[in-house]
Amino acid sequence: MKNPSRYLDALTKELSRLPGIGPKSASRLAFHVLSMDGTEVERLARTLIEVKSHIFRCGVCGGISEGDICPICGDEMRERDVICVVRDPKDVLTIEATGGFHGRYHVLHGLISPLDGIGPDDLNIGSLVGRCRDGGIREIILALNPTVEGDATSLYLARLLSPGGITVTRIAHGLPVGSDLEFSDSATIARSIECRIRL
Amino acid sequence: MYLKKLTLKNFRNYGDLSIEFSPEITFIVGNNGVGKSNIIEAISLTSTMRSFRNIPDIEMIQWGFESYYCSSEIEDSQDRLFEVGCSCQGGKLRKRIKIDGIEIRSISEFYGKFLTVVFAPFDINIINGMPELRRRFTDSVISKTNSHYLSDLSEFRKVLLSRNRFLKLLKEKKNLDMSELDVWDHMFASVSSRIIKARKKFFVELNDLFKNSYKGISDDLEAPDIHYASSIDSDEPDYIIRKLSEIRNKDSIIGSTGIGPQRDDFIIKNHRNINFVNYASQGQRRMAAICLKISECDFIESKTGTKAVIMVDDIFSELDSQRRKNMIKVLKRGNQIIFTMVHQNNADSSGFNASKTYHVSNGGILDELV
Ligand SMILES: Nc1ncnc2c1ncn2[C@@H]1O[C@H](COP(=O)(O)OP(=O)(O)OP(=O)(O)O)[C@@H](O)[C@H]1O
Ligand SMILES: [Mg+2]
Ligand SMILES: [Zn+2]
Repeated sequence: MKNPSRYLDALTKELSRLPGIGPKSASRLAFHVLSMDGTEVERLARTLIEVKSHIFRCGVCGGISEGDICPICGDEMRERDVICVVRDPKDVLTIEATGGFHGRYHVLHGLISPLDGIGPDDLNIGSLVGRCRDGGIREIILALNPTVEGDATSLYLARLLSPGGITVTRIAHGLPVGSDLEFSDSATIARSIECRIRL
Repeated sequence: MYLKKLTLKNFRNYGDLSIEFSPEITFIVGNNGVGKSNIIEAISLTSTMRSFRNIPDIEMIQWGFESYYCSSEIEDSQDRLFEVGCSCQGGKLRKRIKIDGIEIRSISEFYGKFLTVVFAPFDINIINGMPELRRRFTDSVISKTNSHYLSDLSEFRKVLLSRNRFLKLLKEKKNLDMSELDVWDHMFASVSSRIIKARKKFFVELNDLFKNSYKGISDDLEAPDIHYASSIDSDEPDYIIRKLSEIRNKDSIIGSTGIGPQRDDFIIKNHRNINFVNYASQGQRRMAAICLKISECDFIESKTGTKAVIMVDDIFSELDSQRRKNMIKVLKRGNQIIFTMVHQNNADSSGFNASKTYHVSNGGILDELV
């Protein structure tokens, strides 16, 4: 289906580049924008630009921040000797939402993946090494996806950081809490047995 | 386990087909090109998610249409429904797979649930052809009985691709962090170790089954042995890591990995240590291929306690009448059998209590002969 206007066409194209938005939803959203009134559209456009111009990478952890340092890194009450390493800024939110972790974070902004042309140099690893070298770090917890890329990145970091005397651990992958063994697929169960932890 | 009913919509030359099978033996008879193998293909699709002819999904959609649908109703300890649908719209292929109406997301949840074994004329390529075909046979048989193996294989493929890509990048620009390669070596070794262990165990069991069935069908006094030929002497991860570091220079010049499960093979040899393919006649090779498939049925039964549905796609025309009789005798083992053939006089149902025969004619028209 061809759009009646090239402006609408351009907007549809831009929207369909967003994750999870196919051509059909993009077209629906574009028509919706067209039906909104002017001030609403302006507000939407402004927020889009502001999000990009007011948010920076935290100079310590690489997470999102409105200043040089994010609120978590700036929080004196948090444990300073444990760092949890995650892939994306949104993983920080996920772990924060659990309320179970009181240390600080480090955001890699990706995983080692030769198939996507991403190596250790392309990730926020140098500053993690720096943080460890500065001292005061007892444990690094790797909270990366249980995929081939996640495992490779975990292994790379463990080999890089453990010689410095820091304990490197990985979160246990396995059954979601409250899940029934019977309904979990066998790879998950095998994995959770492989990664069992001592009680 | 037996297949009660197959339903097809816009699959190959069938617009709309529903066919019921005998729990014991069903013959599908018809001239060349009427669509006999297409029925076998559809059944195998609902069992393994892919065509036994190894042809892409898009080719199986009836010409002029945008999607196909196949479903198999199985009677096991309970009734089960396996559905595969595939659509191609605007160049985008979508496949949807369900068991008992519930959508399945990973192959390991699907593979090995509806167990089938297909005998086809091109099975002889397992004996004659490239190692790749023997690996595919090996992997498919182990996977049917072991879903961990299936997930190990998919992890292995990704690790191998990643390691090879790293080696290629190394060839291009040289100044890479070599400790990343250490990581890939480590990951490669640990998943390879699991795969090699599983294959070792498999070949020990397969060899016994193979020799048994070989003695049952052929007149040869002695049955040859199947040997696992791995490119690595040990399945210990540390040993594999050491080997990888020994060949690292060579690997980085070639830009790929020189050892590992991707190079494995199996060889059939007689007691004089002579390769089967170097002395066996064309007919003997054909028998050996059939024996491999029979061993597959036995292996599945010994591992899962289930008798797979056996499909025989027109291999009779290539056998002499004595071999044909032997073959039926060997296949008469309590599994449900579905045969396709060109000549109805080959349809020998003696010894079976319940049989069905269908005649397929041009235009995908099926008539049951009674
Ligand atoms: N996508 C498709 N749409 C429509 N018809 C198709 C499609 N793919 C294949 N066919 C038809 O299916 C026929 C081949 O069917 P099949 O391979 O089942 O034949 P067969 O009965 O097994 O023949 P043989 O005895 O030679 O093995 C061909 O004649 C072809 O025209
Ligand atoms: Mg055929
Ligand atoms: Zn921070």
